Amino acid sequence: MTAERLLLFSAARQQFALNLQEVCEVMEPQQCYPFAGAPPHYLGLINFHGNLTALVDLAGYLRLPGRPVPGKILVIDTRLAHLALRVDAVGSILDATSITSFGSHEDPLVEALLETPQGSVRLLRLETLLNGLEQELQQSAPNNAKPGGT
Amino acid sequence: MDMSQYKALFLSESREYLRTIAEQVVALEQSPGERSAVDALFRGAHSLKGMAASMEYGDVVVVAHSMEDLMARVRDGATPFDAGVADLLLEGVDLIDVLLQDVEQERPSTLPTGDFAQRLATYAPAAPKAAPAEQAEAQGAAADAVPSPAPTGPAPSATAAEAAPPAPEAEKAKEPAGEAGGTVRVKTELLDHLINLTGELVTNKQRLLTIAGELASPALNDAISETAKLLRSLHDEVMKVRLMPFEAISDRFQRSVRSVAKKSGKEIHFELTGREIGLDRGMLEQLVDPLNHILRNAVDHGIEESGERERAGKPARGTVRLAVTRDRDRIQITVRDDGRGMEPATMIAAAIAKGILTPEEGELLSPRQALMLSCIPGFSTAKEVTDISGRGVGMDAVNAAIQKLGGTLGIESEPGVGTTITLRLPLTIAIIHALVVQVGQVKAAIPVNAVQRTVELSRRQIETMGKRQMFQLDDEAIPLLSLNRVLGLPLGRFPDGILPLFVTEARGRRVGIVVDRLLGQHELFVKQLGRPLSKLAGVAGGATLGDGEIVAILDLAGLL
Amino acid sequence: MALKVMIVDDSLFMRKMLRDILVEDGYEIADEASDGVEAVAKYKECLPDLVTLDIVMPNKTGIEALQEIMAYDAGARVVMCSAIGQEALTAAATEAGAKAFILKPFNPELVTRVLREVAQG
Repeated sequence: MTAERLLLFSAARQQFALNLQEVCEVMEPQQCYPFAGAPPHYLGLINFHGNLTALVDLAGYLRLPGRPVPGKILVIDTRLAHLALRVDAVGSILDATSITSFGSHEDPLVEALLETPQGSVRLLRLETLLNGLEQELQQSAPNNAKPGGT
Repeated sequence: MDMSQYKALFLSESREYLRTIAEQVVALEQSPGERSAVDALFRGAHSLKGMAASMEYGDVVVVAHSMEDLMARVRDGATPFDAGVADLLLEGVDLIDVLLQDVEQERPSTLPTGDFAQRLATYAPAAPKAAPAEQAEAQGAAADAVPSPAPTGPAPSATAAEAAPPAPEAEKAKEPAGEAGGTVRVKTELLDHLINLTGELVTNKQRLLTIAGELASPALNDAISETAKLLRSLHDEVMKVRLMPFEAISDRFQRSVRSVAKKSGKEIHFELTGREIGLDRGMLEQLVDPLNHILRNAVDHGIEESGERERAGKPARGTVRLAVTRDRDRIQITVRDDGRGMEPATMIAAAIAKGILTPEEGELLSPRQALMLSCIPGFSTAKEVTDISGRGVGMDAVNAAIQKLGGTLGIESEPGVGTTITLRLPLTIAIIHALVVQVGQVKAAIPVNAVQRTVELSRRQIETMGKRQMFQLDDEAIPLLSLNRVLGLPLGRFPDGILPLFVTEARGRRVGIVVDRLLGQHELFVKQLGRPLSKLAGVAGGATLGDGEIVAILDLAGLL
Repeated sequence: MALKVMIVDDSLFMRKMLRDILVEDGYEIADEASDGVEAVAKYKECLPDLVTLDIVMPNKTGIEALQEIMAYDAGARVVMCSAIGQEALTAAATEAGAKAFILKPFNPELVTRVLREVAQG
């Protein structure tokens, strides 16, 4: 199923899209506070209108090489998660009617591979992304350090 | 008529009826003749049916209607209220509960309900059979002599007096907190929003304090300290609104005790006091699993078989008491059983046998510490883990869950007499006092309930015992652990030779947790982290410091 | 002037629904009660023009409450409400002085029609 309006953005030289309804704000990079125990693509916590929100570098999570640009922050709808994604740039909002072709993709994270006037775009499945992040956190539980070392 | 506007009310009131039905079923099992409980059960099913019919939720109507019919037969004396009826009614409660969830999520229901209705419609009490083995001695003769269709339920007279909740009281409690008496129903989200705003104000007050410190203005200081007082009372009032009586979750405990007792073939008398005590609604939800587990343990492992009890000179029927009390700003929950109790020496021996402790370490443990061994992952005193207690959740998970709520768990036990587990919890979970520490590049907060004391240790005081580094505190050798290492951060260097640390209890014994710096105690407004970080082990939430900096609140039980 | 109705039902959901239907039709809600005992006491306080009275309720059933209301005020105009399955009680209610019956689930048009008829005698 395709959403009616998609938000296009890029990370690691690839084009992605999310259902516009799943994103509640696009922000400039802002102060973020690191915390311990999570994989390195967790850049830290940001305060989004009082919600403590995890900032995740999307390229890092996808194991793609990042680019040294300030980037943008996509805040996911706070009813769905407390998650913000750091991406390289945010493009236009795409009306579903302008999609010229619609293909499936073997990666479960990618709901569809869309051919658009802006080129080919991977439409991300937010629920799969959230599940993937959660599973990763459960697996990377802190190492059970033995007493003694200081 | 647009019925969607009534959906939220339908769901909340239906759930109240479900709770009443479950409570009355259990109450009736304790005193089967209670007419008012029979009537209340009938009315509960009847009202549910009427409401569901108005909303056109056909599946709920079918199930509720069949329950109503069965209760009408019980009321009119055509069917005795026996264990079979109780089981069917509780099954109906569960069934409707799932159907309501489907309604709430607006997804089509997939549960077949016809079979259930059919079974209720055709239910006939089983022919009287010999009482269960452990009852045979007491009741056997009478039951054989007079083959009556009366249920082989709990023993009569003696227990009827002490039976759990008197029906009229339960009836009163059931009455929905409606619009009468100047009260209104408020959505939970609205409450959460109010609390969020209050928390932001507390954080902002902290900022103002910092600025006032720089300006050195007495007038501003006065104004801020007045604001702080007002904020404190605003916070207290808002928190009161979140309080819900314990009975919102207590029926589940009656049911789980009942079902474990049934599975393990034990006779249990379950008592509940303090059902009216108010607890934070967020905390209530998180208490269900831990309390269920403690109760199941009490029935499954604590209470002996009735034969063994009688030989020990105890009543054949075991007693489990769940009591909730409130002492100003603390809630205390105790689960007390009159079972076999726990033997500290046996616990230590088992821990040594499992390789959790060395024999030398075992000797150092006090009896209280020995009992706390049951909170170590993988530890169990039962010879075998039955399916009833469940393999997944042990006392370690219970302990971790209680600590996450900012509470503590204590165990007292006397061999042969019984065990008491005491949970002490804060009244609210949103604002806590925490010790803020620096580890590597990050700051973290540790709830003070987990901190016994802080120590600044000189390197010379560290002793090495085997692979472990220890230090002496109150004549006890306490192992050291680096928080940096636990969190996977670069280790501290301590150029001046002083190691800051705090002492906490982990796995039943004290541990010194070394950090880079102790930054002091703060009042923090705890926020949940939501998806995905709520899955990160060892983190219980986050909070904003006065300068806007965000810290993670560590859950030591989940981390160590 | 709007007629005053008292709504008696142990379910808040049912009271709310009836209230909305009646207010929409121009009635004034005199009071609400959630059991039989409360119904009798509140009837004496607010003396409504009409009463909708549920049958299956705690403390005092609708039939018992009806008998007490009629004993207090022989001119009371009471409409009984009941869900399917309680038809057996209609005779007892009519005998005790009920003016009409409404079946649950409520059909707004039927509710307002029955109440109008009872109000006009």
